[in-house]
Amino acid sequence: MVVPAIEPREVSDLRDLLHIVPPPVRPGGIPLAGWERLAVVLQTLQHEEPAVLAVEFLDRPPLSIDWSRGYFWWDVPVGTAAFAPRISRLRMARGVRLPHVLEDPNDIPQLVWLIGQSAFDGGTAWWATAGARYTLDRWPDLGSLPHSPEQMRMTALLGTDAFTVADLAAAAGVTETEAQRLITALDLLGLLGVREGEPLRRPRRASGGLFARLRTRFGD
Amino acid sequence: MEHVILFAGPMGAGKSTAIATLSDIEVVTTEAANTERHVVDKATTTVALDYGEITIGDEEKVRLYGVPGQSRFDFMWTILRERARGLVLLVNNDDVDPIASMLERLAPFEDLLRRRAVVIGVTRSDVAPRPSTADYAAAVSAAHPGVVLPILTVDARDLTRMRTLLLTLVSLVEAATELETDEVTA
Repeated sequence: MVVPAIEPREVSDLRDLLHIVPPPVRPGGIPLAGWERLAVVLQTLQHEEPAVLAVEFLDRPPLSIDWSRGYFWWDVPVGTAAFAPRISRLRMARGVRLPHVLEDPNDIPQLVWLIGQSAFDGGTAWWATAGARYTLDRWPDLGSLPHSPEQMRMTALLGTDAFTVADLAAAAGVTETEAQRLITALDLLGLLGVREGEPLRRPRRASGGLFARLRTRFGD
Repeated sequence: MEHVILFAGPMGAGKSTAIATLSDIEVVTTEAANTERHVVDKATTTVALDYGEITIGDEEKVRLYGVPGQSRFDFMWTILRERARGLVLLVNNDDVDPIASMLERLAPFEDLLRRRAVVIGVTRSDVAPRPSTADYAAAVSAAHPGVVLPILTVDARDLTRMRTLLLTLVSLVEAATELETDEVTA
């Protein structure tokens, strides 16, 4: 059932609706404090559930997210470089949207793409099953997301069949860590499906195809 | 060796500009007076072909053909699509009904769709942010179950964006080809 989002009259009214989300705890009792902490929360918000998040960091300006509108506000440029901020407090109001779109919004996929690649140090995301086979349900908008040619090629492979992280890495000629970072980012963007059973087809490792020659021609 | 890439889409979507952006040579363009100014306010429009090319090394070319934007010239698609390695379909997001336009323009390319040899570039999304790429993807899935196409926001004047669009198409075509040619027998 789709619950209509609450829209407080003023942004300041949100204060009463925001509740602290306690950090998940690693084995051994160490709480998550990096991008993993936010990734775990965003993963629960798939299917466009309305929510507003306020994230405070030890070492960065605060971050605000209006999930259902697909916008975020942050005085930090989201570039291609991964970095590991320390989250000090994460508050969320479920079923809520901002009363209006604030000035200069940024598109949420840019942030989620960064978080997905940076979280879990390239290891399996907490919600994912090791050894699962993934396929692409929808392409990311590579026109607006910074990406490498290897990520483009892996995405294309996922658009044609289902792969485990290990198989994807082998097919694309990258490390399993690189493949896992892409899988986590696509998964967090809600673009992946999980398939059962064995793969029907196995790709040959591409070498010297038109893609590679065009990349060279374009100076990538 | 040569590779034929088609550029299709409704009038005003940026086919001619996209080819000019990518091409190494001055684009050969056949244009005529636009008799459909009520549809798109352009003085001229492509009625035959735009042609450009990208040269790779000494003996390899990617030939870029822009096929007509007006439906009465749809027969031109038939001539080239048999030779095409892939299709770039451009759709302008500020069209009256861009999703319907996309589906209409995809219909003649069923064979390329089956070969996963199609990429969609959405232009003018800076002017009209909706529909989103997710909306286009949902429409493609509904009309062509099981087909997952790359859908990218682009600016036909932007070389980096257009190269990304072309490389996405080539990566998809090659991934599909590699799988088809190396099937694992049960």
